[in-house]
Amino acid sequence: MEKKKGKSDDVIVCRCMEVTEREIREAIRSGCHTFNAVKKVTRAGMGLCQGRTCEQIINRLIAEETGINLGDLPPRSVRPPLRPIKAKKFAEMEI
Amino acid sequence: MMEIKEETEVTIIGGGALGCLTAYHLAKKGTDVILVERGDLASGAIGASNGWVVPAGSGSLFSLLQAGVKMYQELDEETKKRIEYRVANVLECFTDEDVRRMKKLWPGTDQNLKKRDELEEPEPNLADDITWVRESTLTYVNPLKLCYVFANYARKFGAKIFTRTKVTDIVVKDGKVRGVKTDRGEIITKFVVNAAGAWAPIIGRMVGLDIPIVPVLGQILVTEPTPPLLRNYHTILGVGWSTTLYPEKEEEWSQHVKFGIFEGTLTEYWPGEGSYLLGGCRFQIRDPEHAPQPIPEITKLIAEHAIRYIPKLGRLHIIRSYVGLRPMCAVDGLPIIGNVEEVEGFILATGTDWYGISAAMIFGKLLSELIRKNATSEPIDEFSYSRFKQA
Repeated sequence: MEKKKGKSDDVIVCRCMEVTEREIREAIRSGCHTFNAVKKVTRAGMGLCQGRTCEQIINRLIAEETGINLGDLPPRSVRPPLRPIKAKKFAEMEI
Repeated sequence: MMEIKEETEVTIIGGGALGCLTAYHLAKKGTDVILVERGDLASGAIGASNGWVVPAGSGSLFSLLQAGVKMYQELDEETKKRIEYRVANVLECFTDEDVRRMKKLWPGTDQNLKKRDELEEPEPNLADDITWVRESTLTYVNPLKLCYVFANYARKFGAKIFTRTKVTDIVVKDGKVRGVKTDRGEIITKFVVNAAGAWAPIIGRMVGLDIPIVPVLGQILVTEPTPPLLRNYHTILGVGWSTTLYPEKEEEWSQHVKFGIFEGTLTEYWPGEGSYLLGGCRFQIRDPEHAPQPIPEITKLIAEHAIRYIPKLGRLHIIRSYVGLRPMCAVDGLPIIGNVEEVEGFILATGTDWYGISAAMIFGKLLSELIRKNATSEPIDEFSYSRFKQA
């Protein structure tokens, strides 16, 4: 059976926060020219994986929309913790 | 990146709430304006804000901020939706001991308290020893969207916005502002608005001003998405870490956090993200250029106190934590807003500390009036830079 191809705009780019390619492109067109700026406006990259999955895709979309070289795009800001940790663990940690 | 070679009436330095709102109010009235931000919009205090739209302080500051809150209430529905404007129910939670100490140390602050079992619906996820509560509401906006939405409005009215552009110098000639130099080129301008938040002193030094702003760090932990843990309240506040109320705790906590001031616990549910934001801390740091990172000791205290109020929060994963630097006036804690006698055309717009969202709306409007008409509809003299010389 042939699979019907969806419109690429509706493809989900950030799986954690369910942000579509269309929303990402709209944010880029409204002036968000870095991953961090796109994140602030769309919540892409704010979920469980913290942008590990979508950073490269979003950067490619930025490069495509703006003509900025991929290599010139700043890396996403990495916020601790590096992987999800239960709040209880933090409360109990020895300092 | 393309080089900047511009000429404009007003150049705003800083893409935070105050910078973006001032650009909006100016551009809306037809003034030529350029906003320059060294990072992305909403990167400073506003980027780490929890979104409260509140009046603060006392006297005329309080009235002005109240007017700011009203301006948010009166925004059109479309804009409110874009900036995720909402009014949420708040529950302040107290133990018997909290209330006993409040009566003694903060007379009058125990008003409108009621017994927990008088709540319309029970909240079984609150800690068992919470026996007293007080209900209220708080207004919120999404602080990030606030900046981007109003920056885009400003753009539609003709404003130009340059992000990732660092100001390197201000050109002053015969006591007047002439231009702004950046790492991407120059802007000829008549007015410069220094809305650089905790970094405002760095811009001030470029024209020989010593702006008494200190960065006050705040920190927030974000949980994984979850259904809300309380039925009727998005925000939980408590006095459990008040060292004024619990002076005997000061030593214990200060062993961990050497310069912290804690006056409240904050736990907030963000329906947009489905996460809880845990937070509440203030402490002064010296240098805003030393890129601040979440501090493990504070992470521990925040987690401890949030779980203390809603034990089930302990089971949730923390997926991210961040800090922001609020600009606080070291002399009197008031905003620093308006003209300076020393340099014609140099305007200050900083010191709005933790109440920057309500402040940005009203001071953005008043600064726009000041620049266009050299007069403001509400007096702002008491926030002027010249107050430091009188003292």
